[in-house]
Amino acid sequence: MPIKKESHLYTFGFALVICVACSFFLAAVSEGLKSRKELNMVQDVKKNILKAVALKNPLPSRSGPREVLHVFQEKIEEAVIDAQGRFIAGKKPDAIQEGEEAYPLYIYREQGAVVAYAFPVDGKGLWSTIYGYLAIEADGQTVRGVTFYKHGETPGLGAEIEKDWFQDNFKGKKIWDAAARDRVPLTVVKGRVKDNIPAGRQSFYVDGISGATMTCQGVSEILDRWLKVYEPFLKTIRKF
Amino acid sequence: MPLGISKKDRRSIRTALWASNPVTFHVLGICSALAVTTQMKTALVMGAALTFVLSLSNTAISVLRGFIPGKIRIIVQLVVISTLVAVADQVLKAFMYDVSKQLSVFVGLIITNCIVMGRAEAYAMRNPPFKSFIDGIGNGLGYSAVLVCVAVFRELLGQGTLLGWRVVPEALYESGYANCGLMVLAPGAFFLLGAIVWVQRFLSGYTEKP
Amino acid sequence: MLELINLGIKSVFVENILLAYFLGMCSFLACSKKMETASGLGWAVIFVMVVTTPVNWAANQVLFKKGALAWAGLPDADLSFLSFMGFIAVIATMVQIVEMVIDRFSPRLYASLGIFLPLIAVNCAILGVALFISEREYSFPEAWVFGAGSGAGWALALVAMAAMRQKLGYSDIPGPLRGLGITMMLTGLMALGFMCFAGIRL
Repeated sequence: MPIKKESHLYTFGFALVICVACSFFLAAVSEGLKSRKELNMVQDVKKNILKAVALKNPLPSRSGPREVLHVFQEKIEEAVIDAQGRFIAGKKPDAIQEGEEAYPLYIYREQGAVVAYAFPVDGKGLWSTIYGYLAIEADGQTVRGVTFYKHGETPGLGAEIEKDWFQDNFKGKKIWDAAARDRVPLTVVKGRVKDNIPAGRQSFYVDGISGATMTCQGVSEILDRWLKVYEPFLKTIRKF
Repeated sequence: MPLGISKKDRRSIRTALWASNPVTFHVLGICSALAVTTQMKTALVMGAALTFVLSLSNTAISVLRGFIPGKIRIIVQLVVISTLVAVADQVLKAFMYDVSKQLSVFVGLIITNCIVMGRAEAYAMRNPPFKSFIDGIGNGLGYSAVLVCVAVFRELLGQGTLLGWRVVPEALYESGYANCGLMVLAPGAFFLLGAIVWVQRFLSGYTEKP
Repeated sequence: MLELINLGIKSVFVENILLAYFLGMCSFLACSKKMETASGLGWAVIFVMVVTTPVNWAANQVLFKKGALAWAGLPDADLSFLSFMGFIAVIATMVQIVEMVIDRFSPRLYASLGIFLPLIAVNCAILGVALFISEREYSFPEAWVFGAGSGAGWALALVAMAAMRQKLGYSDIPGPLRGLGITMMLTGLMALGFMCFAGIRL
């Protein structure tokens, strides 16, 4: 039977065959790789938490998703607190509903002793919402680490917040003024702390990114907002 | 002859790499060439993904060329290409999650990369499958070469690293050397590509007609 | 409201889809030689952006997004792997429909825009916007403002470049740099200028 290539029937038939064939092929590939992709997404979140709490034995840089999950399960306890800083028993961060007054808390333990508490922070930078995790040492006064993993800030300027050099600046900074017995907002300064802040107060300030003042201001506001939310809890763990 | 690649095929790959390079000569596919070149790693992965899509789409369209009705030619090409791109995207998400996050939408944008459509329409519709495959590989490599070239400069000058390894010694920084921030930003990419085009055309002796 | 204005300004100036994300370069380079072509294509892109972004947004919400098929009783289905194909199909179809509608109702507009419409189907800026919207999970008004803003920003860059290239016709440029080379460098300068907008905050 001769095929008429330009007939309507053939055109429709051909389009149908191509579409069905391509969709099936794609569906097969997608289904085959599904478990791996999901594992990747889950471990990505956990990796960022592990990065914020600054593990004593850092993950090797080439560790696969399974190792990340394994370490996370071993070292981190997932908990939820309410607005007064009390633990809600038996609740996991995944179960928090939108608009609920409950906040996730990740507790990092090393040989049974609590090393750090980490919680998610997010808010407006210059152009976009910045997402990250902040970890506070067990004394409730010192920053253990911070990570920003998702944002849409200007590449090369504001986007430097995701770089290690910027995040490392936060380590060891104080959120509690032991002399005045009060909390202090952790502030990212314009320029370098060394040159701008008097010697006694340098531990409450973090080096800024040149050319990204607005993003840095956003970061300060975000951290302060969430530190206020978690303050009732942090109060309970501070010992004098 | 390895893999049955004839002298002629090799010549056609070489032409695609140099004299009629898809980016510098045909002005095709620049869109994504610039966005993914802040680091060598992303540039290499992007080049590999494009070469994969281009060679297979060329082959597939060449196989189908006798059956494709003229009226829906473009749509059929788009469907084939977007299927292959989606496959590439899925594979990247499963096996190279970090890189795929950095490339974000630019893998998807291979669909509208003019090189892929251009080669399908101009070459694969008229030539047998194996020749089209070779043509795809050649053009993919030509594209990747420009990409990597831009990326080497941007990563080296912008961050002092190559593939993430520190290349510029610390001593140089201490004596006052600073990374060129412009290279990481968008304008740096434009200047670099302009300069690369200039050098390439100067050496190959091609001048655009006004 | 202020957020939307902010997003609009951002997508036109600061994160100009062409100058910051390099999308739509091919047609930008090919069609910026003459002013009339440039402004025609510019308007066509804005138009197509305004029409396609809502459709793509809706398609993503009810078909492709993870869990989007809940209305059909399939809350677990994840068709996101089909989204590339879906977006490009929506764009190609919308462009065709727009072309037919313009041809039917406004032959004059068709005469000036018509030849550009097929070009637009493969303009990466349009697909790029669709992908950005689904990646950044914009709401409907945000998506629309972002789409229209990106289209306007692209058209602005295109028209500015056409103006520069027309003036450039009188200058003596080294042979190998002519055409693509000098256009790239000019675009770089333009991108540099647009970066100054990054300091604005509303």
